[in-house]
Amino acid sequence: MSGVLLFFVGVITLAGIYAILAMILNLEAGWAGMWDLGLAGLVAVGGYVFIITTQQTHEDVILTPHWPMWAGILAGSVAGGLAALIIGVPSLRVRGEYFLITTLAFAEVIRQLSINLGSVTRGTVGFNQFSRPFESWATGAGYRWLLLALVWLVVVVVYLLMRRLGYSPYGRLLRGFRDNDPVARSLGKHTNRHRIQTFVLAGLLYGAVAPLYVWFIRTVTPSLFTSEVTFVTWTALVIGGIASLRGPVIGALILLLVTEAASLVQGSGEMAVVLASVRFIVLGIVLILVMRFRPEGLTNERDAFAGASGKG
Amino acid sequence: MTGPILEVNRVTKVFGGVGAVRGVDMSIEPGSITAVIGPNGAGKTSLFNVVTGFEQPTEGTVRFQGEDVTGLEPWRVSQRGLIRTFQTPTGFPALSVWENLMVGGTEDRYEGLWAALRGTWRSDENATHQRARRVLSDLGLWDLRDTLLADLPPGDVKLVDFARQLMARPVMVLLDEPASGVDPGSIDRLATLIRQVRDDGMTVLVIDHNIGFVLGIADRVHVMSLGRIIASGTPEEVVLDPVVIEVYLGRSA
Repeated sequence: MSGVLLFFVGVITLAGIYAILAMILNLEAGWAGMWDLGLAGLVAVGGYVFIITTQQTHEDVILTPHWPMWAGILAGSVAGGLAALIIGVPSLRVRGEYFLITTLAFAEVIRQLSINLGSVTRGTVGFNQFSRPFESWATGAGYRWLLLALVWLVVVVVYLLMRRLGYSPYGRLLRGFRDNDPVARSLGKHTNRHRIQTFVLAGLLYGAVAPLYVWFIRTVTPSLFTSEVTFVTWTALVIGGIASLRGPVIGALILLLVTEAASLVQGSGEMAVVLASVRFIVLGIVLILVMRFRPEGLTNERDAFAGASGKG
Repeated sequence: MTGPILEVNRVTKVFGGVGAVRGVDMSIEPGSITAVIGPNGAGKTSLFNVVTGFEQPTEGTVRFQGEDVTGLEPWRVSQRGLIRTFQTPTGFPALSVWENLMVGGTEDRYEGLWAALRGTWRSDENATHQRARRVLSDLGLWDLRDTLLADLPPGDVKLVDFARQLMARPVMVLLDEPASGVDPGSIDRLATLIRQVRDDGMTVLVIDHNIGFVLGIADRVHVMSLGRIIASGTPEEVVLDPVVIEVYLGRSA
């Protein structure tokens, strides 16, 4: 019984992590219209910078600064923001599709680097021994609850941040030029500057929250940051309602509950491979059902911002 | 007088060997309403695109308030107070009528990421709100303020387009077919508002196919055909010009 309970604690924790990623994706893609297919790369940058700068146990790498955890989180965040700046400046100057392709390629480059720069990243072996925050407070099962609380605290913080941005003139402008860039420019808006700023903010945030993912999985390897991270985040956002406010959280919860519950099904050895892929089948079915019956997602932009226009 | 507010000198715009605009000269006095008429394909919108930075001229220069603005990026041209509308009814479809105007009226420093994080934008919102309310009332759009632009008929979107661009405090406004698709009752309100903004000191350049509307508001009219200006004058002079009757008015009358 407690095994099943702890399993769901893990699922809800992971759902919280995806909720955070989906909220950040909603800012850059849902509101600002930048279709980022490489967010896994930005999360990887944050995760690797964090673990390299803070880990204390693996001494076979050339870089072991042994920084405190807070400094590592900050460094990961800055690295994510810098990476976003470097790929954003050239690719956002040209139109949409180039950004999409650049981000997709960027994520793959980062993954290949993490495999091949073994002297820094420990290659495919990666890091698997590192301490996590507040470990003195709780151990074993207790720590799973603690991580759950920590992740959902960050969900709330990021949600409040997104709310603040979404209901501000800045959010209004993003949702405006997303659909009509020429009109925004005809009003004197430097839309590209806003796009680059927004993408850099997304990079900072992806980098900053990457340690949560690292603490949850308890290893840092290249396989952690495959495009699956990107596509699960996108699916969560689309199911929940792109460009809405609560959609990313709702979508991530539903998606993770449904797909992970599928892995509770017990099977024989031969069935294990089949069952492992059931998650993706379920993910596909959920996505198709939502697209068929609620194409805007479970929540939508219209309701999220109705009346936000204010005092009228 | 301080001289013309907008000077277009020998502007040519060639698309793949075809001259959309061919050596156009135009000089616009501040505080006037100038109309550009002409059949489809005459080069009116291309001229607008060149003047507002959306297209680079193949040749020629554009000066606004004495400064060379040729080839500047559109947002830089707009920030100098030269603001255009677009021919197709367009705007920010996911925003309400109200929000569309607020985007038009909110200054850079209240609209950035930093202002959003710090909340400093709140101090400006109320003044912009008052202006939006007045513009919406003048155009008879107040009751539609909470409707998303995506849900409005094209004619109403055109009116919102004008209202939103006005919110950006233009020194001079370029209206690309503001009356097309707008219902007759609203056209009168539109004409009244255009005269009113002119009386407030704004300069207006307008393209439209509705000859009655254009000739009713314009102080001066330029007639374009095949990329060239073929006649200029007061509305009364232009309608009597035999060349104009031949290429344009004659066919539509």
